[in-house]
Amino acid sequence: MPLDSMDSASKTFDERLYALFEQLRNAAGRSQPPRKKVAIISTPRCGSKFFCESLASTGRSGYPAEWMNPSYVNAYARVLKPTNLKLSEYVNFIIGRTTSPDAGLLAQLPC
Amino acid sequence: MYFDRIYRPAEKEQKFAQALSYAKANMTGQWRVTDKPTRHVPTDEITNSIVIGALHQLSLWDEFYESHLAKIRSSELLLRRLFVGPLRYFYDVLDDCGIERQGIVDFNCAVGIQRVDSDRTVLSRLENYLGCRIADE
Repeated sequence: MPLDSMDSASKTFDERLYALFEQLRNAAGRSQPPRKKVAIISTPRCGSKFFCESLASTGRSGYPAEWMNPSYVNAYARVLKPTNLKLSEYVNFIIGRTTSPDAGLLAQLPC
Repeated sequence: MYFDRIYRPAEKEQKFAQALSYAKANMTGQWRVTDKPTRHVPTDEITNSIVIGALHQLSLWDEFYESHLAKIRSSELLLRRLFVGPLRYFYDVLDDCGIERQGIVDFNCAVGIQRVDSDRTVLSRLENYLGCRIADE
């Protein structure tokens, strides 16, 4: 699933995240876990976003993003409105909707 | 949470430029070139102390990763730290994850460079304050 709403020029960062989680909410989840789980860690503003977007563009490596960034988790809570925010449920939601069978490049920590 | 692989991309050599970028993103809310800024920040508002503060945050992050990755290294997780060019690094990760590719993968990425000419002004001001060069053109 292309998550192309991330690139809308008329949205602020928060608005872009809300749009992203709206898109994820409406996406069909995948029950099978990815063959590999990969974390990409870096300091902010070092070019990791470019790297992760490039990987995502292959269509084979899931959609790596800053899923553990509090702003993303807040956007999830705002859009999905869970009764209680549980990390395990959040992680399962992300894994089910942003990973590919080949490799789930799950987390980019941080941008 | 278990990861089969942990990658840490090569860090930027110009830490002050990275710190300035971090400070600007925090101040403007513009984390990507396509993001609509939540406020306009004149160059004068990006003071030396703000850039140095951002550098402090980055160094804390680096130290956190160093200390915690040392623990990961001793576990079953495999740490890969690849200090190579971005394209090669990109291919290395695909290969390492067992993602088949044939020749050169044609990837495209919408992430744009956010550096602007006024960044040089901020860094020059910081150089004057520190009394040394901190960035190469």
